[in-house]
Amino acid sequence: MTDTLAHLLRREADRHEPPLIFGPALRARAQARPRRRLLPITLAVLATAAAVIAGIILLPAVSRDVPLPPADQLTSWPTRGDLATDASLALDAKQTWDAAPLVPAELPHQDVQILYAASTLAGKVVVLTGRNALGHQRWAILNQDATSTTPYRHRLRLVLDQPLDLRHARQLSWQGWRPTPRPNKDRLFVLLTPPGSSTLGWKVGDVRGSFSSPDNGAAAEVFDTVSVEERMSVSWRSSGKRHRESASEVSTGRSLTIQYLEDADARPEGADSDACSAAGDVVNCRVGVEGTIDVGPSARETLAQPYVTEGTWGEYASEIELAWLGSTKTRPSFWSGGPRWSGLLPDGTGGALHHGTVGRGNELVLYADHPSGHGGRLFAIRPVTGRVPVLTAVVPGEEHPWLMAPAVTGWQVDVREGSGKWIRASEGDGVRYAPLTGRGKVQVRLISPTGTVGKPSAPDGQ
Amino acid sequence: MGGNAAHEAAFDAFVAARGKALWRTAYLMTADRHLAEDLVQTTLIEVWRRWHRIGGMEHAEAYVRRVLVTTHVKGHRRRRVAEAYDQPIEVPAVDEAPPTDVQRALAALPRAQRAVIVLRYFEDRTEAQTADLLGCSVGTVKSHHARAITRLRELPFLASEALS
Repeated sequence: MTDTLAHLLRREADRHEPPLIFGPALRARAQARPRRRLLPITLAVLATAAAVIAGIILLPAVSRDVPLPPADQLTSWPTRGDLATDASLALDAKQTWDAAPLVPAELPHQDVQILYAASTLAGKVVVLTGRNALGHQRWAILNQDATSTTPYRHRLRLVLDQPLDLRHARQLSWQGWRPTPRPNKDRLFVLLTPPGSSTLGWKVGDVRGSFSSPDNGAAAEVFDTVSVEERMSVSWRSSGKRHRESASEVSTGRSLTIQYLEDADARPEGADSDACSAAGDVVNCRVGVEGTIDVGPSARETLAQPYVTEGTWGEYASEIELAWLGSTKTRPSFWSGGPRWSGLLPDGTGGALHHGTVGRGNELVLYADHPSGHGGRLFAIRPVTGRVPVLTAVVPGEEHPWLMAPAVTGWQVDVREGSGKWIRASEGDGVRYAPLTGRGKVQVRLISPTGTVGKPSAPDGQ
Repeated sequence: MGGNAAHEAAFDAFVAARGKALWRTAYLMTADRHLAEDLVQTTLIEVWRRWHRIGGMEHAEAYVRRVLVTTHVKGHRRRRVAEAYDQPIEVPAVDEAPPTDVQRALAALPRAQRAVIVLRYFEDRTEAQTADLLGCSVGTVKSHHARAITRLRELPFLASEALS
């Protein structure tokens, strides 16, 4: 019922295009006493006239063919935005970028600079650049995710990571979704132009807009109901001229976009390599072709493994899938899968079990993270051959490690450290779990619904 | 009144970013496009008068939502379509499409019940958040919700489609 009623209301709300509402007109009306009906009309006429005059004055100065002035090296740009001096945010951003689900060989980043840090209607936004471990210059955007209702809601998350060509880059721009707990049509725009620039604007389709409060040529702002099109241009004014360029990146869905050199984890910068080989469905490319992994939350599907399909910690599905892809070097077209379970342990440690088919076969993976960390990782990757009733892994928690074990209904798990006693794992939020001391070798044993006790073994992933 | 340029820019940015989203909520609460526009404008004008007292932008939206809901529930009126809230939608103006079933269903609800339905199902608010926005108790929200659902179930359109 809830879903149907919510759907009907959203459909109804979307039937009409909302009217344009202008702040200056409202402010004028607030000051006008008594309210005069003529005033809004007068303001609209004046605004229109002003726009026409501004267009006449400004348009001749706009030329797409005007050679751009030599850009200052982008890496010399200062940190801008109202949180530019927030050292803890900067550190947090750098650590988050290094904990992102990137190809492991690309980490850690070096010479990382914060280009922009600000608070917006879409939460904190941080833009940074640096070289990955292979020497490639990249830039990234981090944003808070207001969709979260868990202890992770204040955490920065990677939304974009792509190569940066310092020889040609004169601006950095991005358009993507504003994440909120409720449906919306908002778009978050980010535009960084050379310091000293002014009149920052954008154009999507036929719709134009401008940033209302840029900081020395940099801005991030939320705009409502801007059509989602690949073709977006940005404009700014510097050195007496107006410049216009295509946006660096437009994310058309609510997604985490990582654009990378496909063989970046195998090929050092500048190495000559031009061959692709395939073994089964696994593709190893040695071509400097730019590829894109664009992963959104997966649709739940019916799979052979009868794990619980509901979850309370499904907010990192994209990260999990990217981490999985990164670990397998599998192209997205050879990968399919989805979440089976997700949940939170008592201290907020999150876990998610995904099942899918990758280039190398059918697998289950367990991803875990904890609130004071900067990003999760895969703790168990288990090929599925036949029935897998329980997946076990030792994962870090806030104060101590945990045994985390998503299990099929009816199955129990015992755990012990060293030569200690066997302890029955607790059950909650769809998972078996037990606190560990971190001392001694961990062993687990499974107890079937009929009471049959299995042989002790090491947890998966160890 | 916060009249400096920074306040004005912040307010204008807020209106540009959130104006349409506010309109959508207002539209469902009023079941009328023009009433919705008027409700949003009334809300934002009130908000601008207190803008200098509103803390960071993050808090501004929560505050604005509260003003919008309160203004609606307390009986915001538009002279052109006076008292339309608690009655079924009348014959629309000539330049408008006939009301949809959802519009009729919403319009059939008393103002407070309609607000609860919109906040719970469109904005996905919890009962506690809805109560906070409406300035009433959770029990009152539950009561409004139950009555609204009962009433919606009586409508043939929703009885068969939405609430079965």
